[in-house]
Amino acid sequence: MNEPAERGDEGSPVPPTGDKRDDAGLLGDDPRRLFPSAAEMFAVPYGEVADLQLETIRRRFETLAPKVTMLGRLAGQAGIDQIKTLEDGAALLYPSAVYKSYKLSWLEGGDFTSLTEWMGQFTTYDLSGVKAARADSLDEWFSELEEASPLRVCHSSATSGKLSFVPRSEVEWRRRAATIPFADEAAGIEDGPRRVSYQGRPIISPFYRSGHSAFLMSLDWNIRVHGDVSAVETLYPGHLSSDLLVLAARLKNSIGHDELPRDPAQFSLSPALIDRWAELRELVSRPTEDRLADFVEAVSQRFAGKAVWVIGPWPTLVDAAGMADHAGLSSCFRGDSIIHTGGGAKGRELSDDGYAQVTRWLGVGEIRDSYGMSELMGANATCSAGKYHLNAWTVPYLFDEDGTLLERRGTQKGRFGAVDLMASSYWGGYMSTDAVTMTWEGHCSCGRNGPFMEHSIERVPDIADDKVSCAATPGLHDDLVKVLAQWGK
Amino acid sequence: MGEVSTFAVPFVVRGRIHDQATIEHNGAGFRFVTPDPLEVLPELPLASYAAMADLHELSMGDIIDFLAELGKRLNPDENPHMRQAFELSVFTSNLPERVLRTIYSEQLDFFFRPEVLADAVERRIGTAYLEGWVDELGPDGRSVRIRAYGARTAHVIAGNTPGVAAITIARNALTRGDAIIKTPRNDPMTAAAIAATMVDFAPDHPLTRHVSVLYWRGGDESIEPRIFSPATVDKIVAWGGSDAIKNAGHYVGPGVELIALDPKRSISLIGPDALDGGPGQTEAAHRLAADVGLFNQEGCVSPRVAYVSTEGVPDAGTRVRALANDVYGALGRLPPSYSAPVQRLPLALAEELKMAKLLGDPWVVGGDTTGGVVVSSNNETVEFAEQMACRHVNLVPTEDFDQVIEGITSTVQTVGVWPESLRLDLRHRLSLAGAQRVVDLGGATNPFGNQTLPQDGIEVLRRMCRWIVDEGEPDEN
Repeated sequence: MNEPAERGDEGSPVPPTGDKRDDAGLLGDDPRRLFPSAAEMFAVPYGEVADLQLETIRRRFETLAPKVTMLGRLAGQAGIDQIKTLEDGAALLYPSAVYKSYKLSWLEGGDFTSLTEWMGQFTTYDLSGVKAARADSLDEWFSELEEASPLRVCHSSATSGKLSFVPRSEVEWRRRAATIPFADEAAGIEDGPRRVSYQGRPIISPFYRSGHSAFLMSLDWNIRVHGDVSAVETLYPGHLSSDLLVLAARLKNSIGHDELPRDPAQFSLSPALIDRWAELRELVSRPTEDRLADFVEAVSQRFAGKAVWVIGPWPTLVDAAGMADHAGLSSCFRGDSIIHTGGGAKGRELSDDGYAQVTRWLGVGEIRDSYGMSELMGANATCSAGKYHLNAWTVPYLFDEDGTLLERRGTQKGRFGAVDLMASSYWGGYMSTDAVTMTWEGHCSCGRNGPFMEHSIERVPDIADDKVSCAATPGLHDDLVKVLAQWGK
Repeated sequence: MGEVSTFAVPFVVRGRIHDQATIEHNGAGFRFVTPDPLEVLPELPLASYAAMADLHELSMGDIIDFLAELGKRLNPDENPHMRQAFELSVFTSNLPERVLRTIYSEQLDFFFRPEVLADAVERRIGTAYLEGWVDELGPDGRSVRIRAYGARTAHVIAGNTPGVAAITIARNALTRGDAIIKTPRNDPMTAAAIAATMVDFAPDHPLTRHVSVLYWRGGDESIEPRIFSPATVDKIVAWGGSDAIKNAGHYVGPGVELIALDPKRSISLIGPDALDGGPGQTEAAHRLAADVGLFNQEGCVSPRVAYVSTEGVPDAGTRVRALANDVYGALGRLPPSYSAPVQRLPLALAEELKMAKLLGDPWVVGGDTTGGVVVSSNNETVEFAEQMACRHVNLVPTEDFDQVIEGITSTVQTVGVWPESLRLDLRHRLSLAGAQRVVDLGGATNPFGNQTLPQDGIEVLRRMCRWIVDEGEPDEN
């Protein structure tokens, strides 16, 4: 990255004016200015937050509905021309498959013009100047998009073989990065730091330095907004190719385990792919032990005793901690270091052994995960009572199995959807595939106001379990040789 | 969450009903409880082949009479086991209650009708081979005799329709087999209810004592290696779901043979006359709706994709949509006891349909709990074609059928074709490509008489027998 790192919105906060229209603007555009800390955000009675949310969602809808084709259509089908109540927002959530609703054949056939036209329906930006026809690969398509528009698209992790592309732009990435400290700040009656800044903290991340996956985009914007590029250590210094990531995912599907042959000769691949075979093998399985051991040793020495910011997928952190254990490295960093992790821990608890190893290596007392997803911005903190608390710019909805909106009363289990009010160049309404248990009324023992969610989160069930039918169901597995033949050209 | 209904699902093992419920299986709005399969495991294997002698003392007439008697006793209004099976199926099955009611009350006994059974045995095996030794002069002049014996067989059955349980019990009796039936989660009870009915009216009959029915969770490694072993069974008949087939395939080896009724898909091929805007369109729409909609598309015989030829048709896009509208209309007019709206679509399909409607591509008519037709914007199937269910079909305009036929593999079971002349033109090529059944459009879901036909390219009844040879001088008596 050539750009210098930039400071976040750490300047003196402007307190809420009390004027609903101004505050509503801030809730969507700069929540960190409206609420200088998590303690202040969660001290506001939820009724007031809901009033602000209504004003903000109303304004977002008014602005975006005429400009974002897909929102216009969604609203048309829902028969909504203006938002009068928060409940109206529930009818304006995109289906969960929205960001992968393009045709797979476009990607496979290199039709990036159609992909761009598809993307154009989701954003306020005019993409007609994007020279998509010049792109031969996903990586090149991202470059073309970025050259001709402020879009900075991120994509999902490719496990299903079809990537979701979220039409986020620079303004949202900056906004998102600025709100990340909320998840690390104590609130209510909790002990702990009330203001968190990442300034001056070295950043350690056991993956690539950059790329278009949601994780890497978030890392990159966190560094741009908060960090010092000269104090960043990543396992691989370079950029993760999204094309390679997709290939790795499909190979993983086709081999059914995670070991690719060492020698690619049998697959008659292009020289370019042969050159990257070793990288591909690591992507399909996991980083080699040597590489990870070197990395763990290097960062533990370089930043020894410092308050660092570690950002990494949980399984890799656990592997790294194993290496540290092996090398006799423990309590390497200052006790107030900040750890952000996810992916692998979602839906299940951080495993005890791994947890002990990671905390021992890093020298921190506790690691808390947060709840979030690529499609909605913000990390929603786990509190001292182990509940997830939703940030104020996230308007939550719960639905029963028929898709009927559940009332905001008591404790309910249902499918989670939300409108992300920070999205301003695209519509932030999204129906997730998570089933959550939400307490709407009642107080969490951490002292935060507002609804909170139980820690265990499941996928919305489509129980196919042991149900046997003579009719074929979609096959998941690619054929290894076919996949490579297609990519080898 | 509302009230949870609880059902006790017994195991039936060799003429004994086990109903000590110790294991709970939870579903949405219901739970069912079963005995512990590990406890009945020791009773499942047959002591020796000699223990099948009793079956071979029955005549085919005895067997068919017994099955006919059984068939008469399956009406859930009179049979509490079957009533329980029906009530549980309302929760576990994807079929609407009304259609289930029709199957339990009017259809199950069809699988036991004596004339159909006799016909199936005669045509698929040859009754004489089941009744005794059949003289066959060997090509070298040797004197040989052939006889079909019963086999010890595990059945891993599908649950998309209760008929699978019925046909399994009938086939086992006709071939004088010894059956261990593993029921699926989408129909854990029907096979047990039929077996329990046998216990009620003939507890000591050999046909009763050679059937065991139990539920366990597919893939359970504390159970399956002990049942699917050459010490216990000779054959495994595995239906459906690729996990079920793969699990069963695991155990195939010397001494254990797999009869795989693989997961299948079905398609329709419709000639350009269906786009005539007149009688052709009306007829094709009705026929396609019947194939898609009868029994709510739960069987593998129902098409998920229908290709319609646009060859020489002007303004094809508009005409294909008109056909789609007619198909959707015809779906809504199917007799409700054979086809009905569902309460809820599978989540993944519902999401895809919602998305398609937002994008406007593919074009969708219906697309909700009443069913729908999804029209491809080009000559390719939509990406979610395999998820089509609950009376949804992907209508794909195509210039010629050659490419479609090229894409056919042995996963394609039934191909419904219209008009008849096209069926006659294509049937040979379709068969060579891998399809296993070619029918006039509208006949795919015909439930009557399929028992007497080969299934999935296999003669299942014949495969279920052990074919034994006796060589040497014949018995003069």
